[in-house]
Formats: sequence, C-alpha cells, structure tokens
Amino acid sequence: MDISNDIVKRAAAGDPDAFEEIYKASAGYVLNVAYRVLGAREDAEEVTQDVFLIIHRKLKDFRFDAAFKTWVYRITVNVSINYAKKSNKARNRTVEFKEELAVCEQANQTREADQELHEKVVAGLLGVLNPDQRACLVLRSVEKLSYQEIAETLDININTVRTRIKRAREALLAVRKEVMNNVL
Amino acid sequence: MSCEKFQEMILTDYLDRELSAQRRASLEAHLTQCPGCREFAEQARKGAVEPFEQLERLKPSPQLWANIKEAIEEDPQPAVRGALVDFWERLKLLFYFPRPALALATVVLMIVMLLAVLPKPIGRNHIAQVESVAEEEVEYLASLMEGTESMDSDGNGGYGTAIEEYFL
Repeated sequence: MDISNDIVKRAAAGDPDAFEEIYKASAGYVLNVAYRVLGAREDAEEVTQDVFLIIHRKLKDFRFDAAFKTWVYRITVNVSINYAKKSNKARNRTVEFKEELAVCEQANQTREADQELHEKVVAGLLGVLNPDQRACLVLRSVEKLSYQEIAETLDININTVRTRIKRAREALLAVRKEVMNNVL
Repeated sequence: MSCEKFQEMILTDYLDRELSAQRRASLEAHLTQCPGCREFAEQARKGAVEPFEQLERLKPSPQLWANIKEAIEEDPQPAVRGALVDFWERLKLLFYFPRPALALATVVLMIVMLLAVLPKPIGRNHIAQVESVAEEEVEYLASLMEGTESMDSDGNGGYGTAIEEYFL
C-alpha cells in the first residue's frame, strides 16, 4: 500500500505507469472515504475521479513534507466535503433510516445475513452528522486513523478532532436513544 | 473528576484507544465504581462505534480507472506541461495590469506631466519672493549709481570692492 517517493517523482514527471501505481495503491481508500462521506456509490466514484485528476495536476507541487497518503486523504476529504455541501441530494433521510435502525435493533440476525440493512443504517447514522463531523468519524471509525493523523489530514488542531468526534457520537447516541424509546 | 468529564473521555479517547496507560487505568477504576458511567460506556460502544466496525469496503471498478485515464488525457493541465504552464502564467502575471489599474495609472501619469509642463501658480509666498528680489535689484542698481558717482571724471576711482583693493 505504501507509495515510494520514487514512484511519486516519476508520476510527477509524467510517467503514466507510475501514476497508475499510485492509483492502484490509493483508489481503495479514496473511494471508501468518499463513499462514507457521501453515502452513494455513484457520487463516490465521481469524487474519486475528481480526486485523481487533482492529484495528477498537483503532483509536481507535492513537497514530501507530509506523508503522501495523508496528502491524498486530505484531497479526498476536501473534495468529498465540498461535493456534499454543494450537492442538492438530501442526505439527511432521518425518518426512513430510523425505521431501518429500529429493525436492526430488534432483529437478532448476523450481520452477514443482513448486510444490506446494516449498510442502510450506517449510511443513515452518518447522514445525521454534518460533513465535517462525518469526515472525522469516517477517518477514525472506518479508516482507523489516529487523532494525530486526522489532525494532519484535515489540517486542524487535535482538540478540534476530539470535539468533532465527541459531538458526532453524541448525535449518534441521541438518535439511537430516540429510536429505542419508540421501539420499546 | 466528574462523571461528565469521564463520559467525554469515554466518547473520545477511551473508545478510540488514545488514552495514556495512566489515564486509562484511572478511568477504568472509575468505571468499576460508577454504574452510570459503565452503562454509558457500553451504550456508546454499541451505538457509536460498533456500527462502523468491519464494514464492507467498496472495490474500485475497472471502469473507474478507464474514466480517470480518459479524463487525464483530456485534461488541459497535464502534469508534464504543468511546469511550462506555470512559468508562462508567472510571466504573464509580471506584465499583467488589471484594466481599471491601467486606466488609473494613465490618468495619474497625465496629471503629473501636466503639472510639470504648466507654469506654477502664483501664490502669496511667490509674490513676496518676487518683491524681495525686486527690492534687492533696486538696491543693487542704486549702489551701482552711487559707485559711478564716487568715481572721478577721468574714470579713476574704484568700486570699493575687496578684489579691486587686492589688485591695486
């Protein structure tokens, strides 16, 4: 998964094979971060395409001050958040998601048996959050980045990372509590 | 530390394993004694952490790379030409003036040139200076007249200047 500086330099100099190497190593996490921030595969693919175009244009400006992966995460999160803010598609589909969450809470099924329902619940939970909180939570809970790595990726203070994660989780717990109260 | 502070810590550093060993031990000691915080930690893990564990990850489709390759080929700013494009853009910036700024600069230049060409306006100070110079001229002429009168008829005599005394 690691991309060597040599590959980055070759890609920046216009080597298409080196750029394809970068794509192969990064496309997975770019697509998944975009997907979790945006909630729809087609939007995530559009954002992934934009991210790699930006990477291609800006590679010559990459100064190796930060890890290449951090730089790619930063572009991905910024493009995804901008896309989410501009998009007219209402991500906040709280009502239907609450029904799905209620079913999930009641059902005593394995996740494999009902992966589709679980995906809907996750998308609904993330949909409750604002894009900044969502990006923080995705980087932590899905991508497993440390607080320090998230701070570097988003170029924010580590305590801002804590605050966003805290508020995001408080919002998730509030929704869950509401659903559970209705179920019981 | 209050339960509120412990619960803030549970929601963030505790659930994400970011706590130092010492703080973790302190929090866990509190959890053994406080059923409210213990219950909160359990609910937080179940409601805000577990749903995101072991999520299925999307795999990029072959079509996605094909689209990106195509977009890169059509991109007007490819990486290789980027340096040249940058140089050209910087060069243009050196000679670039926004239209209003250019117009303003032209007007200012014209005003400066006009001021340089036109005669200076006559103010009170200027009149006083002219009067002073005129008075000096009159005095000088008067002194010349006096000098002429002090000469004798055959032209002997002098102007009474130091240089004259030096040569004589």
